[in-house]
Amino acid sequence: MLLSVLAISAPMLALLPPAQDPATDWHKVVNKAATSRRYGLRLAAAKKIAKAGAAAIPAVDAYAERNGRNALPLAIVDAISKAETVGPAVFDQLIDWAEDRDFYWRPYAFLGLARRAPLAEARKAELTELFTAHRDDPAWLVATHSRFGLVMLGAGDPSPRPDDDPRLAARLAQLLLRAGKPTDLQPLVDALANERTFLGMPWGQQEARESNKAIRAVLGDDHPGRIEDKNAAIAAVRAALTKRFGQELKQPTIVRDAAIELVGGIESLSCKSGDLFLQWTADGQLYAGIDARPAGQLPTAAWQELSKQRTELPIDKSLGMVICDALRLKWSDPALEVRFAPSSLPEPGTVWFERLANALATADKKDLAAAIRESVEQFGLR
Amino acid sequence: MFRPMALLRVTTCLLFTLFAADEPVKASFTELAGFDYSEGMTLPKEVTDLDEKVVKINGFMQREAPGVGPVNAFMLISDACGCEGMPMLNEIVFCMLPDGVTMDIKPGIVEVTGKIYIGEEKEDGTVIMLYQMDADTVK
Repeated sequence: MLLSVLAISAPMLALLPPAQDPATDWHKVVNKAATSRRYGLRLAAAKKIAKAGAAAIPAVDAYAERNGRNALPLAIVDAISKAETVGPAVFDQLIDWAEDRDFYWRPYAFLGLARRAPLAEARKAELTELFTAHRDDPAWLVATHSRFGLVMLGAGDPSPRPDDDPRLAARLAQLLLRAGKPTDLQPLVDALANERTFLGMPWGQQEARESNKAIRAVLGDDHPGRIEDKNAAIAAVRAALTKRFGQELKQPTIVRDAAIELVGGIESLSCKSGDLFLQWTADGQLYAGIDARPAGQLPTAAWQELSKQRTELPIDKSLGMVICDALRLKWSDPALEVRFAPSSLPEPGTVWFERLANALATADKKDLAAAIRESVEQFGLR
Repeated sequence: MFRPMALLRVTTCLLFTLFAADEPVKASFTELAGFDYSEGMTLPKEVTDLDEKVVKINGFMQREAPGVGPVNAFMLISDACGCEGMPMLNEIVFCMLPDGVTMDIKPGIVEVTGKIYIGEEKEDGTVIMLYQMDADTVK
């Protein structure tokens, strides 16, 4: 009798996914994903949690309850967003995270919802409403993932806007290409030619790398591989894409930074308020956005006063533990590059930022002024 | 018979070889992170070709574990904005500074030079690293 039971149950047990192993102490796994000193172990634990779906959710929620939601590591949220798990509990958790504007990792909650959207027919109306409400979110990744969700649902309006973040079109095309959805491939090809930087950060190269990776994943052996000459490499990729998808694609021109002598700037990255990018020349010409769009010039006297105050700022080192949102200041006179976590920018810095915002407001650059004030609010020392 | 020109040629050649051997190879995340990594996969040849080479590579410093203060080891990653979510293992070079050397995490892009080791490193059966580097300089 016992042998019969074993004979029947053994193969069934083997079919059980490890995620449903009732012996797993998910609290321990969540703790490991959050606190292990080894990055790889955190990553592996997070993937295990993500694969478990509903089984691990109470432990994830308990950790967030004990330590605050923003103590949840990106590893867990990112892994859940990319996992294949579905079910009401997973959707509820992702929606809860997505709707929390103060949650650091809400862009990945949107990504998780967008990827699963076609599998949730019963929640289509709810998800369409959520994605539509955030399709122009100030956080560009939230906007991108919301539009991805709208395409996945075949609902709402995912069309581009003139003031979209310059990274959005390529990122959306990468997601759609990987998801097997029809998409205009030109933004991907254009991204391959992007060599722009912001305060030394090669954001163009990052876009190019991610676009090439998505193309490579889809083309497989038809990807032309590494070709030293960049124009030739792009032409080869373009030809391979045209052959596979039948789209005629234009050869992009390599895009580099404009020949402007930028001497400083600020970068405020925020999943809540969106990113703020501002650079300036020695004579006060301003350039806003990661792609340095001309934003006018402050009056000479005001700029000179601001520059003098800036050079006298007693700021010389990074402060605070950056987890997600961060403020970076970089300028050449005096040479400085520092980064601050929220609530870490010392008072003289916040005072200078407020003066900058006031000067911008006086010069009728109210949007920029408001963005800087919002940044001060988040990063100023409390 | 002593032939000074021949000796000079051999010496020059040897010196050139030595010099060339010490010159770091320019590596980048374009090749290291240019593919979707999965455990146990065969890594692209352009990546495995770098194994045990002295390379210089640009990236962003990040702590392996949260904290403050100087570090003796750090992760060099390709993306500072967190736009890609959690960096995958092929998007990270785990850098170890020489014994006794510590430094602060720098906020911008840095150039790290040192010998790189390519291949899966496991701990308790879990892959914890793919690229490791004995970092000599960070600029």
